Amino acid sequence: MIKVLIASEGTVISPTVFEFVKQMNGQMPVLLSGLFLPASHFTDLLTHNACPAQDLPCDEKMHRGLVELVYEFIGFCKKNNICYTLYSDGGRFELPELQYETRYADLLLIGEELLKIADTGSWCGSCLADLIRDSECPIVIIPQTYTAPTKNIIAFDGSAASVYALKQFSYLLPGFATNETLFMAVENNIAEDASALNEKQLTELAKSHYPSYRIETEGGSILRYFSGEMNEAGTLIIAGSYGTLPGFNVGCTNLAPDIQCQGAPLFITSY
Amino acid sequence: MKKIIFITNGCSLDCDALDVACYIAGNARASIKGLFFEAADAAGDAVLSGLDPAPCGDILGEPDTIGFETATETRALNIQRFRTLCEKRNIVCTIHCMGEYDIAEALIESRFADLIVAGEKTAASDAQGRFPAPLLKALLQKAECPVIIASERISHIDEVVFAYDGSASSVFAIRQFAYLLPFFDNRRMIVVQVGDIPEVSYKQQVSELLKGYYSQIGYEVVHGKDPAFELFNFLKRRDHCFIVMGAYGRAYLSRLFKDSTAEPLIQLMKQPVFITHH
Repeated sequence: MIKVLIASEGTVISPTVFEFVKQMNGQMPVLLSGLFLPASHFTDLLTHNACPAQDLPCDEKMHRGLVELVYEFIGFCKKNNICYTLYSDGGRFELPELQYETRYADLLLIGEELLKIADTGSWCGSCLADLIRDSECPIVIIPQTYTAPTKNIIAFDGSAASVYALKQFSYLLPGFATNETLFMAVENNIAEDASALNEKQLTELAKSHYPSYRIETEGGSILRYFSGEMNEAGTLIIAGSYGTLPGFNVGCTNLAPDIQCQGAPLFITSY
Repeated sequence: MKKIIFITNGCSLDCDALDVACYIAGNARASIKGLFFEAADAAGDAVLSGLDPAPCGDILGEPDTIGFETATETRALNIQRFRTLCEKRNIVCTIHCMGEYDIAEALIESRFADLIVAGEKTAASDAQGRFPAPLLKALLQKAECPVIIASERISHIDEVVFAYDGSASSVFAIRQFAYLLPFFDNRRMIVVQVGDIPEVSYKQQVSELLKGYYSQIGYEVVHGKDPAFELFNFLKRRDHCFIVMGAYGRAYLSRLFKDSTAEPLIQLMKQPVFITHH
């Protein structure tokens, strides 16, 4: 039974996050650990702007909202026979604590609202890069509109990070790994051409972990998923660190562009 | 089905380590890819190592006493023995032969594997007396999957010892061990931490994580100033256990590899050691 950390977006947890947990638990029981933080504080944590604990903007209304959310969380877990634990902020949560919680968890689930920029609807690239850097376990970002995944797309560039991601995904979400899986070439500095996808080793590994896999060597097609051009229902995208995402510049988080990943949960790891 | 890499000197098949690889592959329903390295001193070592006593127990039959003139022939025979052992245990296997200095290629292989099993012979001093041998050292420092160093066969495992120090690396090792070797779930688990502390760090969180995988969990703090030495003393009193550790080059393990007054400590440990670095 893996331990899944679920972070609230202020006083809500997106219904789609709950849906994803339900689907996971149906395939393999999980221990759900709820982390309840004021939304602004979580964003500040991600961007390293967290204010001192005593100045946290957690007024009575927000506190009441968080308590209601905790009850909703407990009700969801009981109704779906999911084991759970709770971690309430209490106004003293700081970045090292978030890191420690991810250290002792197998997976972190967050709703995309935590990363969304209100004006554009895109994900804040630097927030995502910070989150990936700080989390010590893989992350799944769940979109607001959700269709149960029936197909995986692995953004693959032959790098250690992308292979690490595909291995961790199969360990943590073996039920999803049995779905149809497409390996798609990512064009970046690491893999200037799609030759990485022709490696014998990749085929060996893919066969071992993804019984229904296919390799697509045409670089660039993955971009359609991140530009918002392609919105295929039931798709789950797997990527290894922001370096594997198209347009991200490895090692330079300031250049991380804002991206869209409409309708597709994103499994991403830090390597 | 997971993929395990078994690394051995082509001219000197490490039967004990192969036995461990097969034990794990059998339980984890994994395949094994054998990487056969050409040894630096292959010409001088062109004998069927491990044949005295009997090679790979009773599985491969009586020791073959016929001499072989070339390293190539010895390697070919060892490959055949590897295949035979895997087939007898119904384990899917593949072979890959590598040159003496193909460490970079071995590291790429590690990227596309779930686990590496290497034996004491891979770890042994090379012709220049360096320990661990450059191949194993490179694997421990740079392999992109966990490594198991096995010096003896596994008859049975009673307990798993997690060498824990609160670091990200030690928790990462615990998690990867749980994912890759889930068949130890009914064994006793012991989380051991060295230091002058009242209880293991973040005990509640470790406990929450481990409870998801295991039902018998114990915690032990070993007091002392030298973590590597204290850990070694703790481990040498135990039999039939599996040791799980984090990063090479830090904390315990770097000390375990340094020359001590006697032999490097890791050479003295007879239990299999599961090591990750992240």
